[in-house]
Amino acid sequence: MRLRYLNLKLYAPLSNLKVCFASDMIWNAIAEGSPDPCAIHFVVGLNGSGKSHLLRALASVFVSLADGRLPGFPFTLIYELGTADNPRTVIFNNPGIRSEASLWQAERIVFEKNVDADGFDVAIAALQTSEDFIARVAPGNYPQTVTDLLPKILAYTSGSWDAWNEVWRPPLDLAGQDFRFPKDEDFPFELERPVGWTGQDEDALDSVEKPENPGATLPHTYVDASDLLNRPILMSGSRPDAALLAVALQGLQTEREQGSVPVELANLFKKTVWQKLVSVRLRLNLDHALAAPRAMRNKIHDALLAAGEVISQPHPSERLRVLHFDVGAPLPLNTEYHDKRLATLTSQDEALTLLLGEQNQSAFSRFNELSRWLALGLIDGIEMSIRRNEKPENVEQADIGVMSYADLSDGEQMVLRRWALFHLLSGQQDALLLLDEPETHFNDAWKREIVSIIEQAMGKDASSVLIASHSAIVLSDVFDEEIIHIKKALDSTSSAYQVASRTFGTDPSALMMSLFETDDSIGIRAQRRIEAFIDYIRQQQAPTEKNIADLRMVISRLGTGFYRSELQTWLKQLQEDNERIALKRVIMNLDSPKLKAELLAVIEQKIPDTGDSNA
Amino acid sequence: MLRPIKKIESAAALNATQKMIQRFALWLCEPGRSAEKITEAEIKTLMKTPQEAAWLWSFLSGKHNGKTHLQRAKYLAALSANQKARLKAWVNATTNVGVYFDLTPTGKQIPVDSPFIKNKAAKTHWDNLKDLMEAFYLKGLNQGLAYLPDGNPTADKTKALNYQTFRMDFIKYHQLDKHEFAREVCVMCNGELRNTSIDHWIPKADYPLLSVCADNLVPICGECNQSPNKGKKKVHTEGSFEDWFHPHLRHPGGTLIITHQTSDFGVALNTTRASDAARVRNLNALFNLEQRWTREFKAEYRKLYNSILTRQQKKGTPLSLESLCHQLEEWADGLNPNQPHYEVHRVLAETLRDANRLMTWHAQLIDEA
Repeated sequence: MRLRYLNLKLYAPLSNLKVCFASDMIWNAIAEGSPDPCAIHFVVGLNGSGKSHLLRALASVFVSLADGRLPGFPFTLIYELGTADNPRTVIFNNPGIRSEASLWQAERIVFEKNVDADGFDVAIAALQTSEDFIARVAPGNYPQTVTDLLPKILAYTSGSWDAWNEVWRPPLDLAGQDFRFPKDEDFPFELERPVGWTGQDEDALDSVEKPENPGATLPHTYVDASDLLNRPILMSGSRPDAALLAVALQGLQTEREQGSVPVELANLFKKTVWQKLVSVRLRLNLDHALAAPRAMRNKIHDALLAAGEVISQPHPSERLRVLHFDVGAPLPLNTEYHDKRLATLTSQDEALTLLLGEQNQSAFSRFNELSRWLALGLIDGIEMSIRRNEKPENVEQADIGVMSYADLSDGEQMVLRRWALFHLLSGQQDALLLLDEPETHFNDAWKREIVSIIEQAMGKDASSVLIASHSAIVLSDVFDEEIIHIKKALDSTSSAYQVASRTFGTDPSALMMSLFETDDSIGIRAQRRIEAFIDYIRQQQAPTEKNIADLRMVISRLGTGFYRSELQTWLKQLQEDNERIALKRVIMNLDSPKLKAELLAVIEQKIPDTGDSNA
Repeated sequence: MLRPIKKIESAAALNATQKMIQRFALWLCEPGRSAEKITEAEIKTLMKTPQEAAWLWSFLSGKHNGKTHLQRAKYLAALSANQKARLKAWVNATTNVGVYFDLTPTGKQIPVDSPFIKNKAAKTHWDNLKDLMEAFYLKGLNQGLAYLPDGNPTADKTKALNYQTFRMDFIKYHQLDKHEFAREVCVMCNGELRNTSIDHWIPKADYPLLSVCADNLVPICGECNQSPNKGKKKVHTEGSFEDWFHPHLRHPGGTLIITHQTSDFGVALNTTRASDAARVRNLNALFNLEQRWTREFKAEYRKLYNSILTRQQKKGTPLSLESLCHQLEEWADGLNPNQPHYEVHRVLAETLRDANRLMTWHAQLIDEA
């Protein structure tokens, strides 16, 4: 999946936004062999310029397409699906009215690499008469099911989920189905709740009052419909943990088959103290499991049998069980599995892997299964235990190596979760990963690695990653063509621009000054103080002894950088008499660096690094 | 404006269009001109060649905001005789801007008020005039003028001068390094030319008759052209251009210099001609040049310092003063006027010829390595 062009007429604060996503990097020049099909785009801009809005607008478009709706804003989106040898271009055009919304596709045809916004607009205007594009949904026929044109979409934010949940909110006609009344019928009085009561209060009361009838309905409504097949997935709640578990299980399976964990995955775990997955605990809600569809119920049945330990958790109204799966531990002896293959397996983690998906399936499909369990409320928590040291050889020695995943530091948990997303999509074609500031909470060393990690994990797949970022360090790792710069105008609408300076391989502090238009790479407070101090000294006709002493004091307190070097230079200047100034000028005009260096060293009364002290 | 800005050959087509616009505008202001008297036949008698007449007539049939330009022209022609007389004077005063840039101050001022008598309808009058005249740029130039680049009329849109070719020709002409891979340099700030857009030096929103004037068009970089830099700022003081440079009509011509003083912690824009002081101030305020160049100065300062530091750390031996002198000279010798920000980098090179700075760098580089 490759994004090509997005035209947003109005998605406040974005207005008249036209983004052409660079379709081919200069990577071709630097890359070895054929270019990587994976496209990485960055969205940068100051706070409030609307970076996240751009991501959400895209998500909105795809969520609506999946639901057969239209988002409440006009847009045009062009993207490509499939691999380079069998591409397909899709145009989703919504001028704002349902009767004009249309969806077009062209097989084996892609837009030229260097088409600009005008070029795309011309192509869109000519759609009706185009020979290349056929109307999948002609104007007037929207909505129709077109799930085959949907890429796999995952969205993650390190910020607030509220706005994102809003985008994912299911269509009202589905969510409210059970609560709707015919227009001529009055609202039944007995359904009215007292002030301050919510549906949850009522459910809780119901379940306490009627324990003999265990909650026969599933919480699976469309309220959180991420589990609907083909709907884009919002990585909120426990889903990042599910992703991490799916990736870790995949790693274990590869280890069983090939003898070692893939090196990229090993590197990911090495970043934290994670050495090895020791056990997995799933918290199961028995009531929900019993009400689940038959196939799902069978799986849960098998899971209960295959788990090394099943512990009941006390709860006033619900029947909760915690299922322990120990990595490498043998399965309990049992023959009553629905899935007979389970009996032939040797370890509990293998069983869990099989329950989540066939052997040849990917981490992504296991993750899908897990998130379906989560959405149905079958499980409501995933916990993992990891080993951080080798097991002591001496049995009597205390084994301090095992710790819960939840006990890792916030930053470590986040790095694992976020990086797991890349590995989750590794090998998937036509995926679109939307990341909103994934580098928050990370130290600079980790920030530096983001782009290379994406490339290692997903570089070979025909997928796209769109990242909103603030980090100058991250941006020094990408080409300016890959960056979409959102700038706010005075009337507080935002538009997209190309970046005005080269970014790849640039020093981050220089980048910060050019991209975020700061006047300096040091903090404002430091800059103001230094400038105020300089102004003060400059106002003195001849600097006094005290000024010089102050200046020296300030210098000694400054860290290295522009201001320290310049203040030091100035200090030297202030202390010089005319004779020395003239002398130095003569020296600096000499041609030979060697002679220059030696003479300067003498003047500064220092022994030069080369040559002797009498020179 | 550190480097020369020239009118390129294809400016001939712009000049011809500018004449067409003026002729057309004055024709609309003729006392006897009424809405009915704007027909294809009348246009044919107005224009010298059939190609020009055909182009203008098809241009007038174009639509913008649900109204054709012909409707706008008819609206203007239907104004009262008094209004049209005022408009005529205004058109004459705002098309030939060259008269405001005489070497010796003449005191002439461009009108700053609306050409129409202030009343409720003035806004509608103005909108019709502005939309019609701006369309010559927005639509006319974009789709191709009535002229070949050399100024001769043509009916062939593919050969006519258009926005793209004008912009490309201008950039190509002003580049010192014309290789296709070379970084392009903005004629205004001397930074890298990215997101190029054509600037109307005297904003076309205020003076729509200058929308296709060769003297008024300069392709510059997006950063220069957008707020908080030039944006829609005025380039005159209450109608007087006396304290302002102009890229074509009053170019500083090499008198601008960038200077650096240690105690300023940045670079300043100065002039070698004392009488230009006010113009330099205005130019700086228009583009925030000092601020932007200081930013570049600091960024390059840091880049250079860090590259020496990195080199030294890789070598592992302490940096000798001689080697530092040598590296700085190598860097300064490699500076090249074809590259963006050459002038700022040149100042940095000059700055680094200071013995005190050299010693400071040396001490700190050794410290840090």
